[in-house]
Amino acid sequence: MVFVLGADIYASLEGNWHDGSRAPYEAEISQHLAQRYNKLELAHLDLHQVAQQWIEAKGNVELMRELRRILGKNYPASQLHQFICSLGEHSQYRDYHPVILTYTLDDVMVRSFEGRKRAFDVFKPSPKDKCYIHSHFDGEAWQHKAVTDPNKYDYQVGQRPIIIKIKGYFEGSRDSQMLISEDDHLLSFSENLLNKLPASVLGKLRQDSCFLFLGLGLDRWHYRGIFKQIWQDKERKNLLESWAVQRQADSFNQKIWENHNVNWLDSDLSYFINRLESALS
Amino acid sequence: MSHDDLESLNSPEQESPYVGLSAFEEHQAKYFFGRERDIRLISDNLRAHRLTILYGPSGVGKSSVLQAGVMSYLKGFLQKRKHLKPSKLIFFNNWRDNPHEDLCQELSRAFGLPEQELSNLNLFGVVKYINQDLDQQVYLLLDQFEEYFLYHQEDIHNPQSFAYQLVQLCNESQLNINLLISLREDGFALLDRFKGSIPSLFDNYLRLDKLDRASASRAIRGPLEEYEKEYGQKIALDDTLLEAVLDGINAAKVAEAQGGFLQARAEDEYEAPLLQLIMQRLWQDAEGQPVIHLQHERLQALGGAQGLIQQHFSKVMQSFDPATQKICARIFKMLVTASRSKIAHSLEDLAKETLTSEQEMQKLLIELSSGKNRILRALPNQKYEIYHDTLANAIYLWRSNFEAKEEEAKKLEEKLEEERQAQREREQVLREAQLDAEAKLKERQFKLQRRISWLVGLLAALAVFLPLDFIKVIRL
Repeated sequence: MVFVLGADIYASLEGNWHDGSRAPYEAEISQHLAQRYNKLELAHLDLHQVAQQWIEAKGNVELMRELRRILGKNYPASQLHQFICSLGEHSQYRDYHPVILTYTLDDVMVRSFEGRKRAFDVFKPSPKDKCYIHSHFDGEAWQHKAVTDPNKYDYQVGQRPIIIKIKGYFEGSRDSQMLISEDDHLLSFSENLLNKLPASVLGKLRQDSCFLFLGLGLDRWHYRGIFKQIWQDKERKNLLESWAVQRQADSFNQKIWENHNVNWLDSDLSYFINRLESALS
Repeated sequence: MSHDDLESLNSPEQESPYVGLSAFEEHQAKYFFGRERDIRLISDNLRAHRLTILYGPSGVGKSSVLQAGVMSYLKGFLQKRKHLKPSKLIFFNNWRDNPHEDLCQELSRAFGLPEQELSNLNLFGVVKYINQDLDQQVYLLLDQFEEYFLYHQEDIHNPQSFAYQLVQLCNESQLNINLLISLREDGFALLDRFKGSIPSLFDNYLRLDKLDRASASRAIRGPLEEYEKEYGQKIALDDTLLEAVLDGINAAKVAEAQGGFLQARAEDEYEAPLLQLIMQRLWQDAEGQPVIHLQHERLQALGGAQGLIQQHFSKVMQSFDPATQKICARIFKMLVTASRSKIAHSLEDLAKETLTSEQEMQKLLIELSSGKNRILRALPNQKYEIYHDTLANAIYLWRSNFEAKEEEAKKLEEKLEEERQAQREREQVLREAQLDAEAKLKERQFKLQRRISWLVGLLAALAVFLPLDFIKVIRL
């Protein structure tokens, strides 16, 4: 199973991100940036466009400073984070050892795993080294290794679940890179970052995975770009079944799910997680 | 391999857990050890990418890894995943005749394509048919691909050519096919022919290295454990034997043992074919006993690891006729120095220096580098060198011996020639003396004849001219 966690996993949560009761979701960050930029007319644009405009006008350093200010707080873990981190507590998933693929290490998720002393692995690209960094947490301590030769990197992913969390918005002291502007995405596509993953992980993503999309739609070009790289434009008929949980998806999203052999579930995220949890227990 | 052949392999009398210098085949996968990590990595790459290039030195074991490793591992992996699209793995290495046609037929046989369908389809069409009509995925392993370049100079833009079809298979994103091209590292540059046509050609490549000591050790122990499990046959392996075999196929160790004579390369590299060669011989020596005991003493009695390698070399050389041996000796003189260092030379140089045509030389070099012989190996830039450092001593000794014998034969021939010459001279003198005597005799005869004639003439004249009375007086 591959969990694909989008930036909207907080959209259905109650509370206000300004008071720190929950993390902001994508549209809220976009709106906030537009406001700070004194360009409210941009508020309707998506985060990548706003971020791009900000960089062009004020530079990347300014943007990072602002993002660090709003995202670098210790937000509580969402219901979804807690669910994913607690899967190992179910008897049928005793050997649960997930693999996180991300561009920005998600502090909230990491804290949740660390708190449970649960082993997990993280693969995160290092643009300056043009390779992925493999970080392994064994329940106590971290180890880091550079995946300089992904074809020969002997990593046995086996039956481990993969969590794709492209945007870790919650960059704390341990991370500083973000995939947030249009240029960031263009650069990651042009460098074909996905192909720098160990072959075992890439093989599993391409040939042997059910995807569960949570908190995102493929109407956004940057998400589509990532999954085009994973699925390689292949005919996905009869490949493994996948699901997308998306409340009131528009017809465009519905068509994309259908075209990629993904079952669309019109459901609220927290309702879905509750049902899943009760089914497991 | 026929069903009967396979059946016969199932009896312990017929089966050896070691394959000698031949490549492992798929049905021998249970005895294939020491390459577990490589098999996993190659399989992962094959699954992850449309095209994977596997390359490595000649004789490193690429064909064995693919046939007995990847084929077997991936089949098992895919069989366990019932939820995946049905698929088949096709291994292909027949490049000599018509690879386009042969591969189409191979795919049709494997996927059970109706014959009438095949007649109208090219390779791309066959794969498309398998994907769309049969709804199956294809994993295609193209082995010994350097031979394709050897036998074919196709126009990559000709739709009927294999090259054109291969480009289509690599580039068409809608197809469900994953390809692996395996070739010797000296042939890697030949892939440049596809460079402009396959954008992802060099995106994903892997080098297969030689065995390290731990893997080589597994390649020795693993087959015995498997055989024991399979047939309930008790087998004992001396630890000292294992170490001796490993040292015997490691260039660095051999160099150390021979006082640094050989060029020691990487210290932790072990030749799988030589390992198989030695272990197969030891197995043949020990089998048939209630307990098969592979002993260090027996290895020593057989001449040690080096001795067995030398015996193999001698056997190969004996299979050549004297004229070919003579060319081999000249080749070896260029490839191994007196200090047992190995030097690589191009086909062209070897042909020139040995006064042989390039065509003949290529034929011989291919024979010496073949899987059953493994005396030489091809290197990048069309150069050849001896297959392994451990052969240097055997080659040098054989060549020295051959040359010494040749020298001896030459001397003997010279001596014989001298004797023949002396004999000829004696005969000449004798003949001349005889002729002289004959001439003198003839002269004497001639003179005598002349005298007789003269006398007869005289008598006749006397008879005619003397008065009859005088005759009468005489009568009286």
